Amino acid sequence: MSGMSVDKDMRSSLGERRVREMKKMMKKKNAPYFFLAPMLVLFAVFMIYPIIDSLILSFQDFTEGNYVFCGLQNYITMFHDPVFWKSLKNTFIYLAVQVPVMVVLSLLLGVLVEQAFLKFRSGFRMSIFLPSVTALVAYAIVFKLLFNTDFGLVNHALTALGFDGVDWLNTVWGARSAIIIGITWRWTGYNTIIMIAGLKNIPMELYESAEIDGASFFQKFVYITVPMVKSIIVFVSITSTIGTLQLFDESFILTNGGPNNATITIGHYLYNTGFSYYKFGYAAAISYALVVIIGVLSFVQFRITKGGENE
Amino acid sequence: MKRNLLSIILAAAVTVSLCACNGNGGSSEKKENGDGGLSGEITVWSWDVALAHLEEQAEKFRELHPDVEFNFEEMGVDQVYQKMTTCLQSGIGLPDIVSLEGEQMAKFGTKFPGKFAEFTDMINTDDFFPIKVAECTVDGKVIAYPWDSGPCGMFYRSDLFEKAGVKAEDIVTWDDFIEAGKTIKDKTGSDILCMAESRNDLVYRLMLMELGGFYFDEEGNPQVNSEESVRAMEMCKKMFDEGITFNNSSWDDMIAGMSADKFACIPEAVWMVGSIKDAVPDQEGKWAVMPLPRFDADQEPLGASNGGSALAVPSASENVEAAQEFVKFCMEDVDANIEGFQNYGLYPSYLPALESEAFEEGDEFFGGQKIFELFTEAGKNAPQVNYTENFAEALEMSKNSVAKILLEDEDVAEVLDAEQKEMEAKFK
Amino acid sequence: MMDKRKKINISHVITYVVLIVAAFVFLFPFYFMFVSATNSNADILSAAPKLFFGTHLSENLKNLNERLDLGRILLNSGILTVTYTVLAMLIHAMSGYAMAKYEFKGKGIIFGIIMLTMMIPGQVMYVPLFKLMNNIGWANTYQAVILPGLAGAFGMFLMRQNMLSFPTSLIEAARIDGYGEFAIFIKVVMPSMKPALGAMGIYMFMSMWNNFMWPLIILGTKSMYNFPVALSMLEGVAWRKDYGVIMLATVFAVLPILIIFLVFQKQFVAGVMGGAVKE
Repeated sequence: MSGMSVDKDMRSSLGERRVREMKKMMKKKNAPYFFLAPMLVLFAVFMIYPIIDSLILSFQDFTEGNYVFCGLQNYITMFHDPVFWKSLKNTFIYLAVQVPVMVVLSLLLGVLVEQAFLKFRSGFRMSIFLPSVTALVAYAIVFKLLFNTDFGLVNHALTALGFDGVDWLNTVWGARSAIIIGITWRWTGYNTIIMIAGLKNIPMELYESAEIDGASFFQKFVYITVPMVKSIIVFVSITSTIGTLQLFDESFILTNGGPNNATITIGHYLYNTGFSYYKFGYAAAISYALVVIIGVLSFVQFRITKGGENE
Repeated sequence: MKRNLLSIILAAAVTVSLCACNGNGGSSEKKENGDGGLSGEITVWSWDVALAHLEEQAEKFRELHPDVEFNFEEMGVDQVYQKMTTCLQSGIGLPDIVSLEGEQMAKFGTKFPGKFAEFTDMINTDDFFPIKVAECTVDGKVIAYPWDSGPCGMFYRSDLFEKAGVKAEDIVTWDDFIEAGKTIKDKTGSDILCMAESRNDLVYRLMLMELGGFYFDEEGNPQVNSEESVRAMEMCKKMFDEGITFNNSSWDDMIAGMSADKFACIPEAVWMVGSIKDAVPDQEGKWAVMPLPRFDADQEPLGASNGGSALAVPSASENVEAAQEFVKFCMEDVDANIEGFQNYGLYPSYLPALESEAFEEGDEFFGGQKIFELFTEAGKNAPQVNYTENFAEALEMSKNSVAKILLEDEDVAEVLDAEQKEMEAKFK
Repeated sequence: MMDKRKKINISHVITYVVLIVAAFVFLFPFYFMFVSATNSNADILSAAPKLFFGTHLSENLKNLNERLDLGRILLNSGILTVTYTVLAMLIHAMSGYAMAKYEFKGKGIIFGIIMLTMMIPGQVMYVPLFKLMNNIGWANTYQAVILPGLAGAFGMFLMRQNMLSFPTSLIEAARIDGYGEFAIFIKVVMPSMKPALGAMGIYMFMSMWNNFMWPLIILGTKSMYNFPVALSMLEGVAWRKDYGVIMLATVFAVLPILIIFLVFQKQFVAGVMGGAVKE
């Protein structure tokens, strides 16, 4: 008798536990949807319609006030458009230089600013961050003054050092270099802030024990810092890739795409086609070509790095 | 912490919903009041001085039509276009009156036929510069009122000319101009012309207009490899090869060069008067204007034009009649035109206004020279070019051709042929 | 003694030198912006521009006040930006957490699609979005500016990447202790995400504070304009810009971002993670 009752008790408590566990499981199962819900609702309301609408637009031609279906014509035009290819080439030149430079520089600066002995740390952090909030007008004027061929500071410095001045904004590579310097100046600091946030996730003990083992600054950087902020490095490189491929401001403001389209970016050309030439269907087609390019690149980056997951 | 966050969100949500009622300022329903006079609310999009001038005229207009309300939204030039682009495509949110650059009117009229109210029966086209009327006419319909104009002349530094012993009167042809340029470079070290060869095609375009040519023919077909075009481009190349041009990469760069005496001449439209005064106030008395040099001494040249604006009324407006009346009121009033010129430097397209005394006065900044007769003459003689819907893109291509020919030393005919092909492919 | 101290300091000296040079390079245009706010247009655009504070401040201020209603603009920008930042931090921390720490059906696809939209240039979406907003009667409202931006992928991606390195074992332990899923998120995970939240807060604040094209298109009346849209009024026409006034206006526009930066960067100092992992 008693044995049976014990058995029954045990069974019921087991069952209860299972129910509780089930409940938890259910909750755990549903939880991600709950967490995602606000994002998904916003996405469904404000993104899906514009995306579909603009995708359809890329198969249409806008003439005399009407949208006319034109099949793949816009995409075919794109393949034969020398300006599109030139802007694509320019953008890839920026990309090839920009992403590695940006990642390395922002990580290094982040590490330096977070050195324990540093005084005025928040002052340094602030100054690194300032370029990303400096008004575009100020930025543009200063850059034109620095890179002016006849009276720019950069050329003054070069001639003082015994080099020839460079016709920065009026030659192909001069103008491209000016743009690359511009982007690096403007966005390194912002990425540094992101890197710092990631660096803060590294347990100090790792560095302390490495120091006991006599590791150098460089060794610590390569064997502790880099692997520990891998997911953030992935983030910075992917967002820099997207940012560079959509680059607009620098081309539009610093060089206006010139000379002879040597510095025009896809983002700038896209703007011209839509907002200046009023070829709306064509602009949409360029956009989606851009999406495919960025998508493929990001996917590759993501796969190579396994999305920065450490497991 | 959590509660704090929640209350912030709630507060924000309340603010948002409160402000939601701020929605579109709708236009008033009735179009005419009891007396048959005009009424309605008119929203105007314009920029800078143009807007300021319209605001003043609106005050006067309201004395005649007290039931018309005005609502002015100030924007930059680019911003007007950015908003117009979206609003025209969706057909929503358009203003009742908008100022647009004359060169762009053909694009608006062709891309959006019927979206701008017609002025064909209101305007007397003989009263305006022919080129401005051409800008505002699409498919034989006048879809905007010509406003300020951009007849061009050659601004020059009289002090640098004097220092080099060059006399402006002696410069008749572009060849004379180049010879003078060499002397000026020799004696003063300054270039004669700011040409912006890596970023602009203005010198080439003005020369092209002088020769009666343009990117497009009357039907709107590209003709950039025409005889006139090759001739104009070769003249630019000749000037560049002499090493007497200043290559500024932007407008700001030109202003900087101006203040540093880097060049002696600017070929530009009449509105440049105000810009020079603003940019280099200490050069007062050192500037003067002459007509653009010509190609042949014995041939009477055509004038050239650059810039200037127009006023249009989107037909989606609920108060088309009042809006159109106001536009006509501002554009066809001699006093209004003179005020716009004197207060804001808006050079009229309206011929009766240009005949008034205000345009016969000398300007101290230009050493007392009566500069405006020259511009009015150029405005009357400017050819009625066809800007077409493709002007913006053609302009970019033309800039690139200039850069290729001058900076990369490519062959004039080859580059222009290639440009012609690209235009034919793109502007089908 | 002396020698020893010098030796230790060499790497410190290098660090300081690198950072000071970097700081100078980064600061210069910003400094120029401040200085130019006190100079005249001619001073700014001359071949040798003034690099020191001038005497034009009061005149620039007078001109600026005549043209813009700074108080109203500040209010608009403030409402837009604060609401946006708060909502973005919450929504994106939640979605990033779901993407980093849960396995569920459709995860890969949802993540992929949302990421892909990050790559669509905003320009092509303005017209359909404009139509949509007008259809639901939201033209010229704050929410029309705020809500579409919240559907962006940047914040979610940033939080996901930061949460990946959060030890799953701690979450499991909390589950065993009987914490609910939301409680785990708020009480266990979020506190150690302060640096990331700080970085995101700065980003979100900045991106809304500087938001230009979409507000320009959707906001119809002057009384609703935020800073960038109002500033574009000052741009006027290319040949008549007064850079002194524009610079002064941008200085006003930048100051709030600096304050926000100082507030959020405190989160970096927190660095709670170190403590959590110790156990």
